[in-house]
This record gives sequence, C-alpha cells and structure tokens, in this order.
Amino acid sequence: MAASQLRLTKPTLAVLMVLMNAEPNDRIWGFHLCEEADLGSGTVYPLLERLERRGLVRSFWEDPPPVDRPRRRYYELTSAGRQEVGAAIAARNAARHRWLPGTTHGATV
Amino acid sequence: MKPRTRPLGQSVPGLLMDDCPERIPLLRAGVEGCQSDRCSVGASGGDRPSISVVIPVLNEARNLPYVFAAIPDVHEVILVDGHSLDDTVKVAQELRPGVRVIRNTRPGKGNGLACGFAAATGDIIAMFDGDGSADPGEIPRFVKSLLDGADFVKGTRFAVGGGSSDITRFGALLNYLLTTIFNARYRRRYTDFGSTFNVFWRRFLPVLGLDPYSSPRGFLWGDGFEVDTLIQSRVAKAGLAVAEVPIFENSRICGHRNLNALHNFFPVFRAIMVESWWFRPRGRDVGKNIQREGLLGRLLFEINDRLPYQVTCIALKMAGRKRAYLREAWDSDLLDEDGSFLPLPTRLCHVAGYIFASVRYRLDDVGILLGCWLDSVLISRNRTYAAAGAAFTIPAAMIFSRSGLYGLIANAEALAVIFAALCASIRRLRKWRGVRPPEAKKGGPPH
Repeated sequence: MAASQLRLTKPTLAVLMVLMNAEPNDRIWGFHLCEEADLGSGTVYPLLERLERRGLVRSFWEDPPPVDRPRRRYYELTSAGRQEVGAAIAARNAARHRWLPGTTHGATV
Repeated sequence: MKPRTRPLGQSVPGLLMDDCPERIPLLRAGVEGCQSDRCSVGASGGDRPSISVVIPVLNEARNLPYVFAAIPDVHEVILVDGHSLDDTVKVAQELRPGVRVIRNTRPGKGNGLACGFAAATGDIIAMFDGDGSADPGEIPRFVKSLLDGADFVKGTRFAVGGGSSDITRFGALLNYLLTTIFNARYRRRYTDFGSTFNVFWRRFLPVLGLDPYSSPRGFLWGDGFEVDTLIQSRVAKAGLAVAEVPIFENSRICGHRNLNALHNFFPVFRAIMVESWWFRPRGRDVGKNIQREGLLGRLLFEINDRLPYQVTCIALKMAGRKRAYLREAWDSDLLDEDGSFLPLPTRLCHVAGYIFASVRYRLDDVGILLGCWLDSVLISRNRTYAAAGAAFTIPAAMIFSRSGLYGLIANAEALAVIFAALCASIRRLRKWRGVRPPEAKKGGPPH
C-alpha cells in the first residue's frame, strides 16, 4: 500500500532539502531539522515518520551514547530516497517551467 | 522484558537540594546518636559503603526472577514477605540462596518496609517495589549521588533520562497535581514526589519514624501504601538534603497493578494533609526547616524544570505505544550539546509541538486505516462495482421517481451521468492510491 507519488508540500520540501543538502558526515537530529527547516516539532516528527514509512528516510540512534544527556535520533535520506526526491523535485521544476516560459523563477529550488 | 533505557551514569545536575536550611538540631542529635558519622562509610571494608536492599513483596513469585536478576552486587538483600499465598519465599530462596526473608508483623506495604529497615545492617538502604517496575540496576547511580553529599536520594520519572511505560496520561496528570501540592506544602522542588524507589543512609532511619513492632491496635498509620507519601513528607520536614535521580519505570511484568491513578489520588492527598497537619514538628523549631522562597522563583522552577517533562510525557502517551522509542530523542532535543537546557521559550515551543505531533501521529494512524480500507474496496473488479451500483441505484431510482420502470427510463440521462461520475471518481481514486484491480482472466474459468 503506498500513495503513487511523493507529494511535495512546502514543509515536506523544506525537510527534504535540509536532508539533501547535508554533508555526508553531518548528523541531523529532530531539533536541528526544526531549526534548519524553520518548522515546528509538531510538523517535523510526523513528517519524518511518514517519509520513513515510505522508505525515503532512515533513522538511527546516536552511537556511542553520550554521557551527560539522552541519545539523539539521527535522520538521513536513503539512496532510494535520494533518487526519488531528486526525481520529484526535477518533475516539480519542469512543471513550473511549463508555466513560466523563458524565466528562471521556477528553477530556484 | 521491555527494552531498557541507557543509564545516564549521573544524577541530574542542579537538582541536588543542597541549599536546604539547617536541620533541626534535636533530630540531628538523635540521628547521629544511632550511628557515628559519615566515617562509618568505611566501616564495611574499603571506601565502598555496604548496601542493604529491602523489597516488600506480596504474591510476586512470577516477577521476582526479573527483579533478582537485575540486582547488582550488594551487601544483603532483604525480602519482606507480607504472608504471600503463592511460593514467593521459595522462589526467592532458590534464586538467591543468601537472601534474608522476614515476615510482616502487620499487613501492608508500610509495615513490610518498617520490618525490612529494622533488619537492615548496611550503611545504605535501597527500597523499591518487588513488582518489576523498578530496575535495581539503577542503584549504583543512586549511591553515587549519596556519596556526592546527598542524605536521601529518590527516583524521579519526570526528568531528563527518566520515564515510565506504566503510567497513563491521567495518572501523569494526577501525579503532576499531587507533586505540586506536595511542593507547595513543604516548599520543595521535587519533579516527582510519589517515588517508590528510594536510597538513603541508614543513619537517617529515625527520621522516618516507622514502627515495625506489633501493636495492640493492629494497624498503625503508615502501614499501607501511604508509606511512600509518609516517607517523602517526613524527609522533607526533617530538612534532609534530597537529590533526585532519573529512573525508568517499567510496566509490571506479571499480574495487575495494585493501584490505579484515581484510587491512589485521595489516599495520597490525605496522607500529605495528615502528615503536614497532624504530625508536624512541634516546638520552637516549627517552620525553621521549611525553606522560604519567593513566588517568582517557585513559578520559574515550575515552568522551567517540571512543565516541559510533564508535557513530553503526556505527549508520548498520546502518541501511542508505537512511538515510545522517541522518548529519548525528544528529551535530548531539549538539551544542548553539553547537556544544558536550551533557552526556555525555545523549549516551550518545542514541547508544545510534541502535543501537536502526537495528534498528527494519531491522525496518520487513522488515515492509514482508512487508506487500507479504501484500497481493499478499490481493488475490486469493475463488474463488482457495476453489480453493486445497479443493485442500489435501480431500485432507488424506481422508488424516488414513483413511477416504477417508466421512471427509470425517463431518468436514464441522470443515471448515466451519475454512473459516469462514479466511474471517473473510482479511476481517480485508484490512480491516487496506486491501486489497480487484478487482470481479468482470458478464456473462461480453469477446470
């Protein structure tokens, strides 16, 4: 059971862009994601769970566990997720180009 | 057993109540009379104090294996049996041959504790319930806090690193109320007052004032479950330096909970009131041990230290058991890299988001359920829809047009439009959900 295509709503896009633009060594956890994407925790966590269910995002515990605080949960895109998100964003930009011929406004994302 | 939380290795910084005013001199004298001083720590060899574990039990034969397996290396384990009907004692002796088993002198958990305390010989006494909800493996963290200078260390479920898989949303709310009442009454800054997991120096036993000997009346105040409240109240009144250590409370492994939130509320409330009014310290020292502080400071403590964790706990409960794993992640989100708090407004916004997140999780769950149902409908073949549609719409059209078959023919146009609309919507829904009906078989049914 899965919805046929990825729906790129604005919060989804913001979260995915943060994950896409992360360096390979960067670790991204929930609060960091909220700050970067400028979204509330109430939006980000359910979104992450949905993406995880679709197999686009993977999450894992901080390792080794730190001494003076609870562990963080890190999130990252899977390789399949990276491809699918890239394709979805390309399709989105193409659709925008169709409506804005000769301009580059649609290509900002 | 449930997956365990990682031990944090140290108590919560800043929660040590070191700023207590001087203790009641008389009490102090009595306490120090019973055992010399902190140098008695070394009496039992090396610089490690000896630990006595006191576990009051009643019919816990099925939970004891889990509890005993987790007990670290200690001086002695005292099992206080409230005259169990099952083979609790036998099981305990098989599991740990060196266990000391003693019997209650009166019924009730409080009396069990009193008897156990009287029998303990270690420098430190650790008490917790024998139902598997407490993890004895956390004792070393309590002891570390004691060695750091605390007189009495209690567990707390509502602090960074703490938690509970047993408490309900309603229970958490009632606990919040009771803790607030307790804090207001004793001018304390506890995050969770009803802790049943306590570790303390044995020389402070007189503070608790528990009487293990049989009494002609048969029942004494403090024999029942009110003993937990009573211990906390008396410790608070005596002005001991109390520290809190985050603990994780498991669900009971076997059997039912003996207490539920609402049944617990009024006895505990009553115990707080009884303790604070009837058994208040008398004489000139009354109130001397109670810390005076401004309303603002108290308010700040409530908002800064307690509210975020209470709300996180409630949000986690609302999000359902599936998301219990997020507890640690959510707790750590409120902390900086080095374990200090983020600014208060940030934290409050973030915590408020948890409530929204839990609501959305639940909506998602409902959406998935509805989606599964919709998919199971959409996967039917077209002719199933045609048959079902015909079975409903043709009689309906005949009845509503009030002219039987003739009405059906007269309204054929409208029916055709409805049919086309249904077909189109099913096609759209199928496309949206990515579902398609099975291919029709070619060449008739197989033999």
